[in-house]
Amino acid sequence: MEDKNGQIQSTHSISAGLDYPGVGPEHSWLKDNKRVKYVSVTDNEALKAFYYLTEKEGIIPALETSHALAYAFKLAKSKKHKNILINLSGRGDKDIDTIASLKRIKV
Amino acid sequence: MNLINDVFKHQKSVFITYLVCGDPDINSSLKIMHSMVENGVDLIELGIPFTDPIADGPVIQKGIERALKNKVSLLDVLNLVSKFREKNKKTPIVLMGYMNPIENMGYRKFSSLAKLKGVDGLLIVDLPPEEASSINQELSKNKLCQIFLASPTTEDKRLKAIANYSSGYLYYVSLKGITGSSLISYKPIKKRISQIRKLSNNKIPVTVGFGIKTPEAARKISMFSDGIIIGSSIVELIEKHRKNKTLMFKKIASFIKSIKSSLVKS
Repeated sequence: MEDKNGQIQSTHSISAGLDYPGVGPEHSWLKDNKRVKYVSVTDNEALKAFYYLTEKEGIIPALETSHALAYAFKLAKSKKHKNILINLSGRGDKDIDTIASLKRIKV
Repeated sequence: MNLINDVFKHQKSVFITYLVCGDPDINSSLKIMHSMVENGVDLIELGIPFTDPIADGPVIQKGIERALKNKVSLLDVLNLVSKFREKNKKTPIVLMGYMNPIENMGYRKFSSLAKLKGVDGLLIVDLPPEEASSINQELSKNKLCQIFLASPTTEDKRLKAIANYSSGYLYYVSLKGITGSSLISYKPIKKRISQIRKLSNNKIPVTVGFGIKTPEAARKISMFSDGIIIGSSIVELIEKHRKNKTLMFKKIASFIKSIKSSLVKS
């Protein structure tokens, strides 16, 4: 992500692993190939998904993965797909500090 | 002949200084450049401000931030060179910076504009020589030099290739670190430079930068290299005195004089 003069733009994401202004070459390739469709979700949607999985399943997803979950929930609602597979990579215990500070809880 | 080749032919130890274009503002940069030459600088490296300067220490980073606050673009840098050329057609100018703004402008457009505005060479810090052939073609067409960096950890085989890819001069990074670090010892630098000379068959002048801050260090390194490069110490003076420009220009001038008088002359 750059401005018209080639300066790198600042980014924001609730998840540290996504707060980055670039895209890896492999992702670019997969997108251009049309083998992967790339979508986005907001901080809030990701957070909702984070709580949902934690509360319903006792699995704390990483905030990065929570984005995938949030989109999977949207996709599930459309009822177009019989099975949806989510890769639950990473782990959310590393994100507890982020969640705590959002909730103004001291840990 | 390119002005860079010319200056290395005639000077025993080429005195190179660096400043960030637009720090503290464009007009001051122009004044500083002219004052550098008046006080003995032989070649100026003009920094292109970039948001992610990975090889620069805190001092130059802050200088770049000041320039970016002034919204200085690559085109502004090129225009400053042509302004400088109105009064000075002799001192070589090398643009130093990072790949993205140049990639964004396009190699062809950049190279022809750079030539038109009076630039003599280009040093892209984050461009490995192995990836440089397409931009190098455009630079060569416009008779612009391309300078590459070598470091204490560069292997012999690669050193040889870097010397081959480089034109104008080779920039030897004296230490494992970022700009503005402190030098520890001269011996390994001296040894390394004689290695580079051997590997390159003495084809390319070898200059030393990173960590040179005092006349003493400048003198010692000028004894066994073809030139020395000073950046952070100048940017530091700009940072310190930028609120009082008259004093800032004075301090920079006297610092440059003190370095110049310490360099080996023949």
